[in-house]
Order: sequence, then C-alpha cells, then structure tokens
Amino acid sequence: MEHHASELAKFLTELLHLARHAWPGFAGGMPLSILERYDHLLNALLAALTAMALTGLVRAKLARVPGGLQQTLEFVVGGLKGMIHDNIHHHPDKYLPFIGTMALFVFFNNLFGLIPFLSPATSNWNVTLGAALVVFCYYNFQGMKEQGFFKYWGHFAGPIWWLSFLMFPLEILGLFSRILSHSLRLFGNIAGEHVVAGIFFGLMPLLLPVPLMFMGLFFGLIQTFVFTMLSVIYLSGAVAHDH
Amino acid sequence: MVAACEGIARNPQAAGDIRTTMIIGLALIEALVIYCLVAAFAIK
Repeated sequence: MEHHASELAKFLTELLHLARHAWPGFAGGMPLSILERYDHLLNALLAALTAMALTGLVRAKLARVPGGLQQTLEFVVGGLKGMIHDNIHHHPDKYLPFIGTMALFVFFNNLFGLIPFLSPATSNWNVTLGAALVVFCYYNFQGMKEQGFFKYWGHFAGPIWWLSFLMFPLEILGLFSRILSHSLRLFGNIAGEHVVAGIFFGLMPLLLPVPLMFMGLFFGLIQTFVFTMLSVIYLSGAVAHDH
Repeated sequence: MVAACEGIARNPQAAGDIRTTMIIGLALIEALVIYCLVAAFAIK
C-alpha cells in the first residue's frame, strides 16, 4: 500500500528543512522525512494533546453552573458511566478513567480526519492495533486481578471437564482474534471513509465532499461508540463475578 | 432492522436499549464488509 503523508507533515518537513530519505521496506523506497514516515504518530499526538487540553481546560475551572463545554463533557462522562454501569455490576466506577481515556483518544483521532491538511491517526493500523492491544491487556489484567489467575484462565476451559482439551484452544483463539477484529474494524472504517472522501475531493473539491464529511462525522462518533462499547463488554466478561 | 423497528413500535420505552443493541449488531455486520476492504487494500 502506498503511503500518503498528511499535508501537515509535508509542511512541517519543508518548514524545518528535514532530510528526506528512503525507508527500507516501506512505501517502495519513496524518500520521506521522519515526520512523513511517522505521520500517524504526529496526528495521534496532536489529537491526544487537543483532548488533554480541552478536558484540562474544563477541569481547571469547573463551575457550579456549567457552560457549554463543561455541559458537553458532563454529558459524555454521564453517557460513559451509564454504559459501564449497565454492563459491569461490581465496582463499575473504577473502570471509568480507562474507558473514558480510550473513548476520547479514539474520538479525537477519528474527527481529526475531517480537518483539512490532517489525516486521522486511526486510519493507520498501527494506531488502532495499539489501542486494541492496550484494551486487551487491560481487561485480561483486570480479569486476573478480580478472579485470580487460575480461576480466570480456567473459565476458558468451559464447564465440562472432558471437553476442555477442545474448548481451551478454541477459546484462546477467540480471545486473541478479538484484538484483530477490534482493531481492524476501527482502522477499516476510518481509512475507508478517508479514502472515499479523498477520491471525491479529487473529482470535485467544491461541495461534493461535504455530505461525505458529514457522514465521516457521524461514522467517527459511531465507531468510537462501538469501540468503547466492545471494550466495556470484553471488560465485563473478564471481571464478571458469579455471586 | 425490521425487528428493531417493531420492537420500538411495540415498546417505545425500550427504544434506547434496542437502538444500542441494533447499532452494535450493525457494526458487527459492517465489520465483515470492512474486512473485505482491508483485504482489498492488502492485496493491492
């Protein structure tokens, strides 16, 4: 697959006079600067910093009578809290910081594709795979912490002991394929949307991409919702207690 | 989709829950299409 660096990375390369050279085994030896090569990290950093600045700003001056931004973020936190409470019944609130961080990171990365001259970091598989791996490690860790090592992994053997030699490999395969499906869903959606918007922009830069960008706004939100919801469902499966 | 519409029509109070479940189902279906797209990118 050829490499499309964002206009921002190209601009910064020119501005800072960064050297361009070929990267072995990447983009067919096309000469790229370090910013163009690691374009997704630049965009992810930008999105993460924006999210941090925005939430930090609201956090710094919390008002009893909330303004527009605080109200929006309160709505988001309330929604996430409701989502976690619906699925996890044992100490749900301690998972809110992690789930909220992932949701904000994914959301801002998705939306940054709509800003001209930027490309969404989530349209690079490395970023979504990283996010999915973090979620994977987190829910396995929490599962082991809540249930104990042997009890947690024992769940994968199924309820019938003489079938466990068959169940265990299948369940482990299912567990690891979650990483793939979780990351590829987000990556494919955002990358596909970005490519289609790019093609339409190439056909006619005026007005034609507008409905697509609107759809991108909607899909960015939906994909964030799905990513977060699936994280919560995986987490609830891992930490479920039988009372 | 039909079942979700019927469900909401019969019990409008459960609209929120039904919509959430429907969106997750749609996302899982859509994921299959997206895998095709990714495969197409991969073999290009």
